[in-house]
Amino acid sequence: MNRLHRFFALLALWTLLAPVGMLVSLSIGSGWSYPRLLPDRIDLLPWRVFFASRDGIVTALLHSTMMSLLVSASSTLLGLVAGRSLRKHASLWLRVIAYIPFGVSPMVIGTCLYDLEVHLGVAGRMMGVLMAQFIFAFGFSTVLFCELWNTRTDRLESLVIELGGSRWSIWRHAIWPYAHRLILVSLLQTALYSWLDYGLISVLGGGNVPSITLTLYSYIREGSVNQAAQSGLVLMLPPVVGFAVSMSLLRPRHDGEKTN
Amino acid sequence: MVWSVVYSICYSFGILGFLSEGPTLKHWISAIGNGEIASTTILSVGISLQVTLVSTAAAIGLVLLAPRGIESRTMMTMVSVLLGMPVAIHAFVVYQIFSGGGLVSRALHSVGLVGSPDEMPAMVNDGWSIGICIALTASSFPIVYLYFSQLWATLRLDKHCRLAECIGATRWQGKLRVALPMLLRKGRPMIAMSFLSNLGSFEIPLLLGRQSPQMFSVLTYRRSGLYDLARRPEAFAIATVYFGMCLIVLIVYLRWREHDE
Amino acid sequence: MSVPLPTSAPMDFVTPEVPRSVLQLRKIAHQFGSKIVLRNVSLDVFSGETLVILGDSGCGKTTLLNISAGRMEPTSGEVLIDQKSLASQSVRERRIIYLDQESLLFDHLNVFENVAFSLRLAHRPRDEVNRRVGEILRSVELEDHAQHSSWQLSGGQRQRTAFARAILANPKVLLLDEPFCSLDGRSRASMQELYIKLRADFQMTSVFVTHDVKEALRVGSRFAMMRDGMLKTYPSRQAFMEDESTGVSDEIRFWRETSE
Repeated sequence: MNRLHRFFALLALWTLLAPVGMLVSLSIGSGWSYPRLLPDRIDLLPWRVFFASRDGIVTALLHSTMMSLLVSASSTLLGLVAGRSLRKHASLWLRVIAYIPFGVSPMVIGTCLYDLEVHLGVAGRMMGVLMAQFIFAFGFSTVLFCELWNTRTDRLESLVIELGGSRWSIWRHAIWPYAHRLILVSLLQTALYSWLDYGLISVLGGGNVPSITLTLYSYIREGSVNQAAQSGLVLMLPPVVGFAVSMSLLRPRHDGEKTN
Repeated sequence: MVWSVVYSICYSFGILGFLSEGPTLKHWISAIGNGEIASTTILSVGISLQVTLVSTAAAIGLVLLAPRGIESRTMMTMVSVLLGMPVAIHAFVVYQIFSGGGLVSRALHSVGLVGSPDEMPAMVNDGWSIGICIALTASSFPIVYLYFSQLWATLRLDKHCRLAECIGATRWQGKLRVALPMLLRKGRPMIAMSFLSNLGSFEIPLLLGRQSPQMFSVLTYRRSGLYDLARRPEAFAIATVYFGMCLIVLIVYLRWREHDE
Repeated sequence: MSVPLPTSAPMDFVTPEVPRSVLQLRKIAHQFGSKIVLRNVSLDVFSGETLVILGDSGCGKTTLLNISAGRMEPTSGEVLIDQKSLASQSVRERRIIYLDQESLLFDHLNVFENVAFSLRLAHRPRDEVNRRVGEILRSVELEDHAQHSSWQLSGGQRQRTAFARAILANPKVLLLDEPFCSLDGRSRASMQELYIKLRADFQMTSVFVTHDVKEALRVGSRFAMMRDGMLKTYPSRQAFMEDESTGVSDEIRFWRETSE
């Protein structure tokens, strides 16, 4: 890395570390009276208080974890199959529909889904939130897996069949070697989508479905700066680890020169 | 999804809904008449365009400066942390830095430029949506950067730039006349998707925006509140306008994708 | 009946002047880990000649070209271009163009603009650009494809475009790494003819790597054989053809036996 690259890397590092550092300092502080640059008192006591006195946090963490696991497992499984159909049969309109969850605001969709869920009797319940989150996560995994199926996988499938392979052999030898990293990425990303969701859970959960994002917002709204920072860090931890894993799986691979 | 779009259209024209009186244009006339649709559209598109431009320019600039930067462990960690930061945290941090009582105000106070929080120029919940733009740019930058880094590798722009140098280009001519147009051309779909994602953002404008005008998602959320059922169809009129815009961008996106394939 | 084989070098570029050494390789050695790829290779490439390097796959031909182009650092030894160390010059100053079977074109530019790229960089007047690009496109029989995008071209047409672009950039040396090996037989023969014509018209200096004996005899003006990382250069075409290890005599014998 030359000098210029190092300069920009350091600049970016500082730009990033400043807010994260601030979040950490606020999370270990009590009070932050103007015009002090740091919290009034800094120790680990607020974290002990945070976990000890708030039963709601543990419940919210458990709910968020459970919803993430359910949404990611179901959407990845079905997305793998749907992605194949989309690639092979989709018209422009079908593709537009598949891409809606990618770009359209969950909040607006959630608002429109609310009345339907009232009719179905699932509004304000975890099932209602899970259904809506699944729709979005399913769209994501479908589009992700759509990229997997191409002429190369088609040729490999044909090759396995020509060599006498069974349906299982096709998955084992033609699909799995290309799909396994994407499956992991899809599991991670859809789990994170559910974990970080606030829009759908606040509209469709109606305040009855606890989650870590709702807890964070309640702290922000209350103006509890220190607790908001604490719950923010708790909320951030899984996504940071998840994205680091995803990125190492999808890391750009530059061409090596042909050497011989 | 389709149900949501159809429901939204029907509701806005009074065909469906709790207090439906049959097909009518009055909810649209009301939403257009009070200027909400126009101001929300202008605000949302303006913010979204600006954020998309800034984050794309920053991402492409960084990729051109250090094409293999993403391979470094430091950069990878930074991008992971930024990607993993929920949008609410972006909003929270921007608030804590740029609000009247925020870190910038405190720093300015310590050097004697600001006497109290009220003297700090408004940068959150402000008329120019500065706070929203900063937070949205910070949240959309990493994914755009990651995409263009990946694109650099996929298009083998290292090779193209080297080839350009071999036939007489300087290092920057190679980057600006070969890599940049290729990145922009192949990256058009991502830019469109980034615009769309910013257009529908909710948490950041909810925490950092003003009461009026509001971005699409926030206004839809507020208008759909069940405490004022009479104005609920207006929420769906706004949602319908939003869906229309999304549809146009998605079609453009898919056309570009198909063309590139 | 005897099969006509190319037995004499095309003489159209031979000049009475003493040839000048453009590219010099001095005691080049290279190894990947413990595997030795090049052993003490020294070589001069003279102005206006086509030095053909023949050798089996994996013998180190491409590594030698990569080192000659400055794409790889040799483990030891030195490369000189116009008597100056390659390492001390920027890629732009070296003016060495490397062409392989892939024929990399700039996708955002049409055929005309791809070919005109170096002239545009040099801010040549529009009339001159139009004239020179027009001429070279006629030479490579692509005048009807000037406005086509790169993806609309066949493999042979892409190769011609890359050639035309390289020639207009006026390189000191053209390095060709099995450039026609992905083309079908007819296109390959036509590209070889085109190459001979362009070499004569533009006084090109090139190193041409191939594993095809017939191609080597057709395009080469001087010959070298690479085996196990060592390079043997031949003083004359006759000496090259008479050396049993080059495979030329096998080729001649095969065609004689087949045609009898």
